[in-house]
Amino acid sequence: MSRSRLPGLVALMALAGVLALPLLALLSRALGHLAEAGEAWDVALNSLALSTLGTLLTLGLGLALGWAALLGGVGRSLEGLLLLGYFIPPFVTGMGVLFSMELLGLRLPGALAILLAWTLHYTPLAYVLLKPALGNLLPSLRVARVHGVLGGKRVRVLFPPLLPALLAVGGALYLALLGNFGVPAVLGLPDRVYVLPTLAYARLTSPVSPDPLGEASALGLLLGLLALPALLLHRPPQVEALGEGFTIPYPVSRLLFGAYALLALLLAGMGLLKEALFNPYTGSLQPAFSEALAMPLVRQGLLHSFLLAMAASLATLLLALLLRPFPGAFRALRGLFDLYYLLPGTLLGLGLILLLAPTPLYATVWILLLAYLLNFASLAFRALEAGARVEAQVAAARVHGLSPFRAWLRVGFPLLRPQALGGFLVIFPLALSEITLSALLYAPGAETIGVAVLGALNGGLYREAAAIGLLLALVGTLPLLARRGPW
Amino acid sequence: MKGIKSLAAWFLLAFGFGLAQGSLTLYTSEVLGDVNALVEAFRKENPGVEVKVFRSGTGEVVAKLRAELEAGNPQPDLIWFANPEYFRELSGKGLLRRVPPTVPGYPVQYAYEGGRYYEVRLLYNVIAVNTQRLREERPRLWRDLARPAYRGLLAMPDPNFSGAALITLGTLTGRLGFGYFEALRANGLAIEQSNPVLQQKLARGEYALALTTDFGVRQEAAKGAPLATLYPQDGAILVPTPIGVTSWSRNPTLAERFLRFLLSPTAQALFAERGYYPVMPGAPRPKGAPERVVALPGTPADEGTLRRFNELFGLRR
Repeated sequence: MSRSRLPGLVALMALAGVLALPLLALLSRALGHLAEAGEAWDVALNSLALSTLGTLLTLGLGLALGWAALLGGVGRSLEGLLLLGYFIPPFVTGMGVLFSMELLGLRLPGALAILLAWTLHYTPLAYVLLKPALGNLLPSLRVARVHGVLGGKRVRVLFPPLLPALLAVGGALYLALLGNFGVPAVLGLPDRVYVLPTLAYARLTSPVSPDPLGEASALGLLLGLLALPALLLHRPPQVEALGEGFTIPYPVSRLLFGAYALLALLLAGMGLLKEALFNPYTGSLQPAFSEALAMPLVRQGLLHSFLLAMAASLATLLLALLLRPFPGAFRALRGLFDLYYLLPGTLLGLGLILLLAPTPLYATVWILLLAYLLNFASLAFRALEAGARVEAQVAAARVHGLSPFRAWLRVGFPLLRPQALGGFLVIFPLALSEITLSALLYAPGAETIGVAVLGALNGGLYREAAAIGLLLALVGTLPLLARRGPW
Repeated sequence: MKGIKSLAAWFLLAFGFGLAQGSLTLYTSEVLGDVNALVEAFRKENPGVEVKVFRSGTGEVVAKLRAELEAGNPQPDLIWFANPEYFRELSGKGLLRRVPPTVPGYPVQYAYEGGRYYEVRLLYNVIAVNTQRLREERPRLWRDLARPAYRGLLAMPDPNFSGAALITLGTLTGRLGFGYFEALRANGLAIEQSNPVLQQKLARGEYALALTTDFGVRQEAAKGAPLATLYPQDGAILVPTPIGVTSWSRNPTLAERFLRFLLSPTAQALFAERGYYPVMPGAPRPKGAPERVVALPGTPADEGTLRRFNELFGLRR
């Protein structure tokens, strides 16, 4: 190691230490409460079983859809229809399932309802992540046919090359489900079906617990342990050029693909629409939007969430842009931020409470901003990582005599504009309807819209909650405008 | 550049409110729609005053306040929830500010401990019925709910979360013994989280009968829900939901003004409109409510009873 790189390394280590503080605080507080965590073993088991089942379901469906898309030559618009489901915030999907089931006259037990909502929300993600690996499969299929390997035997040829992708995508899905708070909060809490994130939240507000924060931290630690195996499996998603599809598409496959996308969207959207638009008792058209928007909690929540989402997306993108010319630091920081993106948000939320409760930051929007920055930075870095040709262009500019600084300013950064925009369109809606961190960290006067919707739902204001949910779903579709971006 | 400037202005606007003059923080279990209406009406009479509200079930509100008191950083200027015991505890520690009950006509029995905390409107726990779902004869007494005809049709809110439900548990255990709830459990009593959620599900026919608050049922009925309140002949349970000004309030005059506003004709009429019984004698009565109510004074369940209840129904917390 050369001497000149040492200070940079030291600075990076120090930064890593500071960034890891919330997790360390959580760990130290949790150690005294391991017995309580042990008592919650049934909830831990519940979390594990639900996340695993959900992962298998979404993975299977994603695979089937990916296959159908390849065979059927599914175009962008049909694909967009499927992806819509992913852009509706998870807790809004949860509400949609709640109301759709009521509309259909079905009564799903909490655990099944959670699985259904997860499947509706995360299957499009599974599809998108699996698609590159599937594309590369087509040539092998053709080779298999040439060699006379047909029917069920093809699985033995096709499965092994898929396995790494399945493991990586499965790990990512498992982490997302394990840490998901919104869906079990909407569908599980009223039925008292707990998973670790919702139990940690319930413990924080328990009137009988002698040390709510300590018990919640222990649950956080348990959650971290369950996340660990998948974290080790994790690899950055493959985004490669797709292999070509079949020359003659099978229309039936396309039909099936479209039917699933439509059904999923209906299941999530139909109940919400009915609840928001019609009086549930008289059946007359009576939109609840104006009532919902007249609620002070909703207004404040919208304002706070808008500002927080703006600030978080712009600040993280700016940081990523500024570090883009330094690939070493960029990659190292991204690795750190990845941890906060992949680990369940409950850990970060609890860690920040433990760390900052004695400071004036606590119970203000600033602690929320800090949490958002840590949570969403990874996405900004991922968005700007793309665009490898930028380096070459900057190098060309250098050849033409520009200083490194000016080369980046005049050539590099402008070339990254589409990636930055794409990153913004991904981060902004996610931050706008964030609920895991804000449910733990909000304070009176510093509510977010997610907290407001959850409050309305728990306060029996179903129609107002549905109306705001629909608005959030609409904002959530923003990234569809930037499909060419980070996917 | 202009965009950045206006963004900065937005930030100041949004985050500066905490520092603005005339800010109140209220911790309450009052139903969200009702507290919004009251706060709006108060702000109309007191322009420029910001009222921050933390609203949740009584259990969560008390937990939050306890945690803040322990940390030495309690936030609310006003507290308002269905746990009279906790009010007594706070008052005993000198943590509630006395507000002299000088509003003319106010029934003094509702100003507890000489004005440390107040009742500003009355609500009762009654039997609510979905008139479309219930085909059988309606119950008349609390005891009737244990009849086999109502098997699987019953629900009540979680007493760990809802202060009113804790009072149902305490009062009926006192009157009928804990065996009453064992009989209801055997009759398929379901536990929902909160009164509002339970009332939504009752209105949509998931249940036919519920042990729940009267005003919320009237609110849903006014929106067209097929709901009715039954005031049991052996007494509806009067749920104390006092409000008080905290001793640590940084803005006690404003907090006091809010309390007195709740006793004003405007607020009292608002209570009646939303299905509560106003506490002031001259105020209008809630629509569709009986003129006179046979009331049982409500007492919250103690720790032991709550623990037995949690074990009986397999509730966590």
